[in-house]
Amino acid sequence: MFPSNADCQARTTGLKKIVSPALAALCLSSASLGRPALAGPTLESTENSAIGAQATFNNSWAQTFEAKGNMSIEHASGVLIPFQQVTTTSAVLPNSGLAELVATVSNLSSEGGNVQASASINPGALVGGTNTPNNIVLSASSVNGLPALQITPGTGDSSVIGASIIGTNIGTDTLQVTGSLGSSVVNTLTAF
Amino acid sequence: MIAMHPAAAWSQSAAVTLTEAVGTNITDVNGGGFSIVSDGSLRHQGPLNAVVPIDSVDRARIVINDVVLMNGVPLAVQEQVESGERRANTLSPDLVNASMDLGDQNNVAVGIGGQVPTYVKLGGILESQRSVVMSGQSFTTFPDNKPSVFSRSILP
Repeated sequence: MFPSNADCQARTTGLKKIVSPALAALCLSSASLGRPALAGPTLESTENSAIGAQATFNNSWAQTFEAKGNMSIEHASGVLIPFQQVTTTSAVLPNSGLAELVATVSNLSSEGGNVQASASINPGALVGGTNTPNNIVLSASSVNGLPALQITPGTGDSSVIGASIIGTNIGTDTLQVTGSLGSSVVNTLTAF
Repeated sequence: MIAMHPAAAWSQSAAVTLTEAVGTNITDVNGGGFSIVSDGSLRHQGPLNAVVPIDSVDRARIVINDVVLMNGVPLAVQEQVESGERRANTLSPDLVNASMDLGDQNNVAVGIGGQVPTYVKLGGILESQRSVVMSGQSFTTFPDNKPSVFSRSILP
């Protein structure tokens, strides 16, 4: 705590005022300074950056089959076996494979920046890991599966035939990457 | 860093503060479900689905600007696996015995599908703040102004 001017003037003019030795020393040291220095220039610079990424995955899958017309199967007694069990790793249901999100935002400035991102679910695992064979898909057998199905046009002037196989797979649904940069500079000058 | 004034009063200071924060969010599905649709031509006697425990779950990996925020199985998910609460609702293997008798059918339709237990959302954020603060004290050289490096009261 620096002494006030009144305290120092009391000391130099001999006024009867109790001045402690410590206060007297402060008066001596601050005599050349007059008073404590005031806060002078300040400079504050703050830079904020935030980089975020988010991916959503579709965990639904489906296979549908529909056919219209006069249908038959050559190699079987007219019976279609629509499902088959998947036991190999070549045609497994994507389920618990590695889910990965990788994003990079570079050269971030007030002008913008560069964004790179990828997201995926590795379709390398069977449902339930390795302890369950419960993976059922539409049959691809050429004997009694869907490829064995034959549709014959009718003998009339017109007939309707058709077939469709539609599948929905698991994978990345949405991918979003954001980068923001904020900076502020506050320069305070004191003139006196 | 503080530079001391000869008169023992600080005159300049500077501080640099770097703050970094990271966050992740992961959403996954446990269980899921399957559905089987048919126009009635499907012939099947037996179970349609089977709920099975999952003995392992693969990792979730989140990397932002080369910073690995997550690379492993989330703790909550791993606890489900270890406690046997992690399950998958799967199609029954008995469905391979289902059949569709084409016979006089002119229209057949069948479909299977559903949701599997896996990660459905991965997210991460990387925040940083760099703050530089510098301040100082100034003295005027004019003795009549305060504070001054000179004091008229002691000058000859």
